[in-house]
Amino acid sequence: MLKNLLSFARKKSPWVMHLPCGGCNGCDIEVVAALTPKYDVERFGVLQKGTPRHADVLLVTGIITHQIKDRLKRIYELTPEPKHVVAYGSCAIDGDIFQKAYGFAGPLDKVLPVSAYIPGCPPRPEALIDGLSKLLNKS
Amino acid sequence: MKKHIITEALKSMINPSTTKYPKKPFKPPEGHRGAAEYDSDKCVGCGACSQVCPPEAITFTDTEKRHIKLNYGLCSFCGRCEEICPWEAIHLTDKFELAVLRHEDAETGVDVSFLECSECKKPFFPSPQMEASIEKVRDTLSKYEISENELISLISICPTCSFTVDKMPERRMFMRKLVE
Repeated sequence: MLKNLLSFARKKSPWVMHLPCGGCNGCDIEVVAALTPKYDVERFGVLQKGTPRHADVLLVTGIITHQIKDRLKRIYELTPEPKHVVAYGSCAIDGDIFQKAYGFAGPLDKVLPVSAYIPGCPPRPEALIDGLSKLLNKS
Repeated sequence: MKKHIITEALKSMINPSTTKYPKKPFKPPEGHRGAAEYDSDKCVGCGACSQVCPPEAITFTDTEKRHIKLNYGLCSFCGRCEEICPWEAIHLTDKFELAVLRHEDAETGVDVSFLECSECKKPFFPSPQMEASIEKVRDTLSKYEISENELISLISICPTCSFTVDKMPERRMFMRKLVE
């Protein structure tokens, strides 16, 4: 009963933390565009948070480099349960054009357990809304 | 009194600038490069798309059939495959809702049947590609004094068998004719 209520309540307020890891920052611009009045993800309760301690969803954009890998794991451990990791953009999912670069440390799901994948280069802000709704309808 | 602010506020009350996306479907603007998709009727399985793909998102595996796979997790939506496809079998659609919950689902693909070798019965070459190639040379066949069925029987031998069968001299003669 309480569990159902909690999961119902969480669906209405998925607070996200935006984590640019590497790459070209095209996806970061699209994530920020999703927060503007034009797309306004706050109408679904999506708030951007500056610290992983307040977040439910980690929005990872860009390739996972050797530099960010360990820090990413630490940020994941700091996030309170229940937590979801969303790979936003082709770079985070498989590496895109950076797949053979020397700085590439593997796809995101080799580093963290990923709940949703949003392909695109970069994905549209609507794709973010679509991805989050698919993720929340599952959990 | 700041009239223009009030009029702007009233306007946006009636006609808000926020999109109605999840309730109303959104159509991307003209020229938007969305997910690439194959047309299984037109694809002959030549693999030209996999050769030009800059991030190597398109790969193919040959077993009983040729399976061409496009991995959206590697795709950079550049449209080179659409440009290069000689059969116009791959197109960038305006689909953008590609979010999936499993990594394996972020892909599309097409299966192309294989032609069997006339000697060892092993599949070795995409059959639609063979048909399309013969279609292209049909008009010029009379120049080389060879019928269509003869040509098919000559070229439907896999590379391994072509060194063992006794048709080898015939094939060689035909190839020499082509070169001359």
